[in-house]
Amino acid sequence: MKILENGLKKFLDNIPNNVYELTNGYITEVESYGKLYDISNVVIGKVLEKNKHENADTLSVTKVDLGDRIEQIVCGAPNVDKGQYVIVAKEGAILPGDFVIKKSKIRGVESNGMICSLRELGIEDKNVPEQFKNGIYYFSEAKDLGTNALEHLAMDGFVLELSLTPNRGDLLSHYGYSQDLAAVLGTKIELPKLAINENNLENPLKVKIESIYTNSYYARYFENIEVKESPWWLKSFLIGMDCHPINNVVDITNYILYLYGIPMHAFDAKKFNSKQIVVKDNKKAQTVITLDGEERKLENDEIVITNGNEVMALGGVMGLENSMIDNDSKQIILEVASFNSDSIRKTSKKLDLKSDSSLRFERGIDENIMMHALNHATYLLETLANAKTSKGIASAIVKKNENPTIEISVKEINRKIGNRLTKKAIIGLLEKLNYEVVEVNNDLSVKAPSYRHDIKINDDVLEEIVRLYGMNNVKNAPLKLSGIGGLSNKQKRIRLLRHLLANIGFNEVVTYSLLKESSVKKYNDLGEIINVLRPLTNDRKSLRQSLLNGMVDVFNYNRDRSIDDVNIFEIGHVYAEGIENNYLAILSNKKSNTNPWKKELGAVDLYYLKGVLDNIMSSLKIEYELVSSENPSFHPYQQAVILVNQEKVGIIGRINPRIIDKNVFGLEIDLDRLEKTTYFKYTPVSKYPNVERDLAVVLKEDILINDVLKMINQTLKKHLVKLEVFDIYKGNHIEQGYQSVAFKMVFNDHEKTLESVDVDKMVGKVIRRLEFEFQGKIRN
Amino acid sequence: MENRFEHLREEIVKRIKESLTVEDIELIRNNYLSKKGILSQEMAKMRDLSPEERPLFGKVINEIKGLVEELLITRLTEIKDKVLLEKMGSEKIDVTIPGDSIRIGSIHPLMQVIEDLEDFFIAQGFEVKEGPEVESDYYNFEMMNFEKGHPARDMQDTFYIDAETLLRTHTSPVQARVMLEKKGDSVKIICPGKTYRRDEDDPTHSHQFMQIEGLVIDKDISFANLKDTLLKMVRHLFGNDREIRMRPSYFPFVEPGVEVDVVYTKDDGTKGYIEVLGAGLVHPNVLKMGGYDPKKFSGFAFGIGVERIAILKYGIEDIRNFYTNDMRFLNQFKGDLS
Repeated sequence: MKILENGLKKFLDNIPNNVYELTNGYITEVESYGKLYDISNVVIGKVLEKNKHENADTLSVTKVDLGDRIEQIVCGAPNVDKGQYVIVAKEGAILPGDFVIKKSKIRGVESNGMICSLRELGIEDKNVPEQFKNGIYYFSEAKDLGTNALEHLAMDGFVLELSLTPNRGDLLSHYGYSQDLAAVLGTKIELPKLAINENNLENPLKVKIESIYTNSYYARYFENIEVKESPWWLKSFLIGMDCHPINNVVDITNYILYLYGIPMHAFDAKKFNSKQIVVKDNKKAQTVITLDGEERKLENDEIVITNGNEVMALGGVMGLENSMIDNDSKQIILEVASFNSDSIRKTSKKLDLKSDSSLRFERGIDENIMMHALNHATYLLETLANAKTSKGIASAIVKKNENPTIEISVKEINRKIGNRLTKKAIIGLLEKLNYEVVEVNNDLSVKAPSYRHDIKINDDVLEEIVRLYGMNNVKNAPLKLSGIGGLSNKQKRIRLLRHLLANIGFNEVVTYSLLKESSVKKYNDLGEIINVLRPLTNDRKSLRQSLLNGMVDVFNYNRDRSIDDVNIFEIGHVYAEGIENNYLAILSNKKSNTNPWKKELGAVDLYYLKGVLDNIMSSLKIEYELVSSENPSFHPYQQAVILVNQEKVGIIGRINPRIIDKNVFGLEIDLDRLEKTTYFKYTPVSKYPNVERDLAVVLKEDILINDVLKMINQTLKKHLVKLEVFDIYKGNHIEQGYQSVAFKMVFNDHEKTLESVDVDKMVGKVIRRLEFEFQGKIRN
Repeated sequence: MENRFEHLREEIVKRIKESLTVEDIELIRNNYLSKKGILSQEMAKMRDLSPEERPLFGKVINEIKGLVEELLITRLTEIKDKVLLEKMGSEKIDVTIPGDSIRIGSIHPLMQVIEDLEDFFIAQGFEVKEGPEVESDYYNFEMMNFEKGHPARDMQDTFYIDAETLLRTHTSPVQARVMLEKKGDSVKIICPGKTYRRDEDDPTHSHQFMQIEGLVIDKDISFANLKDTLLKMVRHLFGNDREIRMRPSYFPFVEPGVEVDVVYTKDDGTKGYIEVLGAGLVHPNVLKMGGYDPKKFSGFAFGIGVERIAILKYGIEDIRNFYTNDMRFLNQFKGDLS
């Protein structure tokens, strides 16, 4: 909602300079604030002389009186003439489009300034009055020379754009805003005083309300209307409000709407075709054409204004074409009414038709200002459209909006503010806001003014008090509530992983949860896909079931920019019908320790990422194993599922070269399935020395090394403190289809120093099982 | 006898002095000190002497033995040191060649802001709570006091999944979940997490973003408490000299509702304001639905835009940077960022 200084001046005389700060601090958020037209050095001048330019037929050379001096100005407008009061941009003036006025010579003749058209002041062509479309603007009456021309054009002052919250319907008008500003300033507004002239002819209209959604309806009848262009000050106001001027009658109703927040509608009385106005709730399906030329299908329960039979307007939303004011309208009916907010909201939504009028009814109008608004409109019709006003107002009043009376104690107010305000101070604040306040012992019984519709409970009143007292004036008080804060063990484990991975060389990423539907199950099948009903694009329609989709996108994005070192991880949710789990994924294409001149280029393989997985699992104290798998998005022979307690918790492998034609490895784990199996406990360090033994064995190639490692572990149990594979060899001296695998075993005993014989015995067991279970041949 | 031993001693000292390698030393040791070495042979001759002569004889030989051992060790150390020195001489390198690249990763800037604020609030006794991103309309809107016709509940603004399910539009539904879980006990929580709104992505909007919700409920929680908490948080984030400005605003789940700006000084010396969060006292309807008697309990709540904090803290020009994950962007967020 825009507030123009010129509109505000109708209600408040002294508008402070810090209106922007006051509005932000005490009323509502300000979207923008500035001069309505950022133009300076534009003054009233009088054309004293007009002569033909000696070198150009279309130009005139004028002498213009600027009050303090007379300047020669060359003017190209055909309508410039001697005696006119015109708008002069003086030397140094800056016009819209950063157009700076300088002294110049035009075709050899000196020109000191510019006589302006409205277009040159930033008025769009369509809004320039007919009379001035092809030339400069001039005033119809004498003006003080040298004074600010913008003031005379009603184009001066500030514009304050409020960012409105849905509760503050009262701020949808200059009147409502000025009420609140007056409260902040500790003053009261004054309504414009208007004298209207009713004639002797009785208002012929009769009003009947049959609608259950209508509180009241008032209608005036006017004759002798002259429909024509509005005067410039009115047009200027509407243009300032971003409202296109149409004709004086329509412009007046719009002006009243912006001024008071009271929607009005004018009917052509002839077209209305009855003196009887019946307000109904529509009960039959029918099609009507609204003022915007659109066909609208009515179904049921819309408020309609009828002439008894025919619908003439959609109450509170928009008029219809059938009774529209046109240039030949002579008699008009002017309505002002109060309709139920919910009903208007429903109709507006159903018809997908939002208007300035429906917005104000939805948020609630001030029934107490309706009569004044109607009088103001009447006054304007009389003065601007030559209207003859019939005597009296036809009306029907069924009910009136009533704000609730709220009981609130000083103690409650102070408890919730956390400061001590006296009863007197609280009453003072509420009275500034035009509340009715009654003291009942230590309680207050309060009622909000009729322009407020959002004050329903104690806390609403509390907000009003805090707001006007000044939120920034409330003294801070530290929280007394102690609490046992902290992260849960689960949250701590997530943090641990995040820091671990960052420390060993991975960049954390956050990617989008919404994906293209067809790619959701590319890396993981979690269950039934969840789609949003109205996606922004089809690429963001379905919730991910794997983090790898987003991470591969990140890889490609960076590769397209020649960044070839992409080692990333993400911790985030994946989703399927009835499921929302927390996953961890990693993508890697380079080891963390590289040195090109040493030819340590850091090509990644599965074992590198497996080492990373080892770190993850050992820091979570979880044991796992890998089993070859067949996920089509991974390399068919370099992938495995991650098993914990025989259950699948994730996948690791090379991203299928058909997806990324580079050597990139990925892994993904379901963190929610990594329940802790063992809890950490310290193990005493052995006092006895370690004993090392190496063992090389020739095995068939298809024997899984992990099976051998498991057997050795199982055989040696607690005596084994370390087991590693330190060599794998195929080729010379080894039969085709076989490989030599060398293990290093480290033994220890907590009770005694292990003797050679003891260790030999244990290694002997391993050898026997290798020979028997794996058909291995021990090498010497 | 004296003379003979004197000769022997000189001969040994000379040979040790002339030795050049570890092998020379071993040879000398073998020659003189081994079981069959010269000094052992001399010692054997003691049996032929009279008991009176024996002590002196033994003493002299032992003296020579001790001396030889000492000299051998000294000489051996000298030789080894010389060998090592020669070896190291051959190991000279150019210390100016670039070192290995040992990569350190980074934590996403949004997660850094979240962890930082988690730590800040944990120190004041707040718990960290989480909730699902696929949320029910009931928790997201109904329990947060959004009326049925509220614009935010429009399909225009919210990603609905079906009539009752949606992608949460704020972290506020976690408030509702925690209130029900606490069954009337006091609440002191923050809830970080992802949220979604049906906005086209542009430099200042993102359809996916992060929030941190805060909620405190107890007897006598006041607006003054809210202000104090938020001021401390802003100072933690942006520096101890920071001030905040509160503006009246409206969110259905609080009353009064405020928006909070951080005050900064512009280049021209005037004050500027940047909006960082929304807050307020918990609406009595929300308390009631959460199982708290609004006559006895009060509370405050706030919601911080994590992107907004990161944008202000680090001067990031485009919100989409957080989700594009350009490595040149991410790699800047490591080490000391203060």
